[in-house]
Amino acid sequence: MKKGNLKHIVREHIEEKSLSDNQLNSLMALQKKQNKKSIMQTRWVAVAAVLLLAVSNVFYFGSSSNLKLDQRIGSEVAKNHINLKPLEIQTSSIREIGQFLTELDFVPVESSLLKGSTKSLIGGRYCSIQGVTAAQLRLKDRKSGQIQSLYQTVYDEKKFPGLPLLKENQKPVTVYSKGLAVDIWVEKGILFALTHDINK
Amino acid sequence: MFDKDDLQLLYRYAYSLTCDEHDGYDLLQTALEKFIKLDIEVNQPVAYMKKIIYNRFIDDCRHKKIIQFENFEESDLPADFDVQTLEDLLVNENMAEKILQFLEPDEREIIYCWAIEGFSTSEIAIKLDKPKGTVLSKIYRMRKRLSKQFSKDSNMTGEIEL
Repeated sequence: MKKGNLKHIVREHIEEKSLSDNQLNSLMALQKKQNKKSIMQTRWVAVAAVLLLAVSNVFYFGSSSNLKLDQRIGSEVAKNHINLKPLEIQTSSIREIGQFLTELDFVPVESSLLKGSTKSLIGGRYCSIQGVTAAQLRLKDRKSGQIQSLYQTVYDEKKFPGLPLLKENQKPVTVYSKGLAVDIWVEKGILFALTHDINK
Repeated sequence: MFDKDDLQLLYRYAYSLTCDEHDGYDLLQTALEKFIKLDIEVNQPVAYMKKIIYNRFIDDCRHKKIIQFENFEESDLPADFDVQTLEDLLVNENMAEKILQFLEPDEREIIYCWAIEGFSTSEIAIKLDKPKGTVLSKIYRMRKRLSKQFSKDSNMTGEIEL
């Protein structure tokens, strides 16, 4: 009988063990099933959160109507950015984010203002701006390593009046909140809000 | 989500603990269900899953009362004793399964860390969250038991040379 050292024999024995195709498929299916369930739960939580926010806004805006819209957006966006909640999808593809965040009633798009920049997309999650469902995209600057949030939601002129329109050659407005700067503009039918360091 | 390679790796780990293909699969499936249910983001999901598998395995063993918890004396340990001394053991090729079955569950974890992951004694101690002396004592006893058992049964099951 051929002999070998214990380590070699044990390693060979363990490494020759493998799941059958049926077992593998069963475990993969288990993960997919639970993943879908989890996404559905997340969506319900997101929908509930949006509804709650919408109700609270009725009261909130009554008392804060003296705040300008851009300042309110900037404040909300800065607060969300600081929280930096976990991403629901991690990808560098904006198309994949659009396919994953199926509850959005718009398609996330790239802004012409960010083309050729050093920022890389790293993922996204659901959020809301002023009670409207939105996408929160997370960007990372390849040079500085700075993490930024880019918010996108459907632009409704009645809900978001007076914001700068890129197609009319208006420049983004910058507001400041919680130690951050937030650029806000409208482009391609989408309201954008981008956080960045004040020292940019 | 774990891909197929991850699942194979985790299965081998579960097998190395249970020493049974069916039990290994059950253990992996149970641990995977728990991991999914936890719904948390972790930096090293495979390592985290191994922890779940191990804890679940130990819980099962305790439930079945198949683990004997012993106090280890370090006084009879040679000063230069180390996990690498297990390398000296020579065994017949068909002995692996019998050896794994002979070992205590927590000894199998040490064997896995040493043979598959290539850990040193210190790394095994960190991984198992045990003092290095305790791990060394366990290895020392394991080596003695293996030597005694398989030398004695060499005519039937193979042999171990020291």
